[in-house]
Amino acid sequence: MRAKSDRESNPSLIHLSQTFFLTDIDHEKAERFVAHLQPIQRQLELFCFRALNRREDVQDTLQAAIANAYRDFDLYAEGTNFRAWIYRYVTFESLNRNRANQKLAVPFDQRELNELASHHIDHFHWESLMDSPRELLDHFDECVAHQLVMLDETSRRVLLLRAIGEFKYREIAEILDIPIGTVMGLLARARVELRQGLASFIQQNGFAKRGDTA
Amino acid sequence: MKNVGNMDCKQVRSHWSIFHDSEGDAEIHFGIEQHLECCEQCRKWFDGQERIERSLTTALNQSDSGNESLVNWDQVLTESGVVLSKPSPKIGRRVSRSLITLVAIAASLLVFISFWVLQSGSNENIPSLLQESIAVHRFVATGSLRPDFESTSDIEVDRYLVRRVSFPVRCPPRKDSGFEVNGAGMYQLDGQAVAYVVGSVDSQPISVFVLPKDQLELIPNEKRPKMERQAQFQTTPEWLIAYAVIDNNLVLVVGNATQAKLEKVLSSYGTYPHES
Repeated sequence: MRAKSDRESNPSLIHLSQTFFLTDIDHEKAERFVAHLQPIQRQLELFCFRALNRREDVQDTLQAAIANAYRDFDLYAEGTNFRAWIYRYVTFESLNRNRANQKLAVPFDQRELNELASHHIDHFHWESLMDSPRELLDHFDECVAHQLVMLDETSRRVLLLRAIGEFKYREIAEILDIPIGTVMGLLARARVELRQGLASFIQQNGFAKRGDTA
Repeated sequence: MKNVGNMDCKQVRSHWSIFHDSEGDAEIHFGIEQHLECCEQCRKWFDGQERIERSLTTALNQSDSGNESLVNWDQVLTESGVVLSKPSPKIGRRVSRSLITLVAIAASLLVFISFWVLQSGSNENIPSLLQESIAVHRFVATGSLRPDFESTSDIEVDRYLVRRVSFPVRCPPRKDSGFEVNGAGMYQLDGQAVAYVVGSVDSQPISVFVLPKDQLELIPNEKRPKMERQAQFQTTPEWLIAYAVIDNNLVLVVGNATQAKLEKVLSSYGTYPHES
C-alpha cells in the first residue's frame, strides 16, 4: 500500500498543489531576475535620470521597462550579457517617454565632425575648459540637463550608454540596433557638442574671465 | 598643421573619441600614436580632452540626490510583477505556502461537511465508496476540482493512466460512447489509490472512477455477485451511479445523464486497446 500524501488523500488539494508548484517556479524566476538586476540598479537609475527629459518619469520608465523585461525573462539565455539585454528595454522605454519631445536623429557625417573638432568653440573658453574642467564641472548639473536635451535622442543614448553603462561600441550598436559606424560617429559628435555647450556655459556665466590665469 | 605619417593634426583630433575608447582600427591607433610622439600641441590637446572626459563621466554618474536612490525599487519590482507581494521572495514564498495550507484546510472541511450532509440526508443507504464518488464528482461538476492531468484527447488520458496508476487499468471510455474526456487524476480512499477520469455526456459532467477489483469489499455483500454479471445502479437525489466489475477493475460512473447513457459509458470501459 502506498504512502498517503496530502496531494492524494484529499482530491480538492490536487489543483491547489499545482498552483503551489507554479508559484514556486515564479519565485525561482523572480529570484534569478532580481539577482541579475540588483548590481546594476543604480546604473539604470542614473541612465534614466540623464536620458529622460523629465526627472519625475524615472520611476515609471524603469517600472515599465522592468515589467517588460521580466515578462520576457524566459527568453533571456543564462550566461549571456544581462546588462546589455536589460538596457535594450530601458533605452526603448526611455525613448517612448521622450517621444513627445523627440528630435529626429541627424545622420552622421565625418566632414561635419571634422568641422566641429574644436575651432568652432571660442578658443579662450575652450582652453579654460581644457585646463580646469573639474572646477567648471562642479556647476555641471546647472547646465547638463539643458546640454543633454540639446543632443538628439540617439546621440544622447549613445553617450550615456558609453559614459554610464560603460558598453563597448559593438554592444551599444546591438542595444540600439544601429550600425557600429553610426555609434562611433554619434558618440564623437555628442562629445564635441557637449564640450561646446560647456564652453558656452562658461562664457555666459563668467566662470572664466579673460585676463584671469586659467 | 603638422603631418606625421598619414595623419595631420585635424585628422588625429577627429579620431580622439575612438582612441580614448580603445575602439576602431589598430591602424588608426598606430597613426595617432605616431603623430602624438612628434606633436606636442596635439599631445596637450589629447590630455585636455582626457581630463574633460573623466570629469564629465564622473559628473554623469552622479545625481543631485547624492547616493540616495532616485527610485523606490521595492515598488518598481512589486508593480512590475517581479515580486508578488513582499520585497523578499523567500518571505513571499512562506506567505504563499501558508495561504495554500489554509485553503487546503478549508477544502478538507468542505469535503467533510459534504460527507456529513450526505450521510445525514437521504443517502444513508448508499455504500461509502459510492458516497465518496458522489462527493468527488460534485467538486468536478461545480468546477472546484480540476484533474491532475487535463486533456481532451482520449489517447493522452489513456497514456496518463497507464503511466500513473499502480494497478492494472484498461482504456477509459471514448467519444464513440458519447463520453467527451477532459482529464484524469488520482486520489486515495482508505489508503487505496483510486483513478478517476472526468468528462461529459451531452455537456453534462460525468466522472468515471476505477479501482482494483480486490476493493470489492467497499461494496455491500449482497451487491457483489450481481456486479460480476451486469451493471448496477444507485440513484441519489442529485446523481445516478452505474457501477460494475470489468476485467480486473471495479468501475463507477457518476453523473446526471440517463441510465442508458451511463450504462453505455460504463460498458465501453476497457473495450479499446491501449495506445503505445
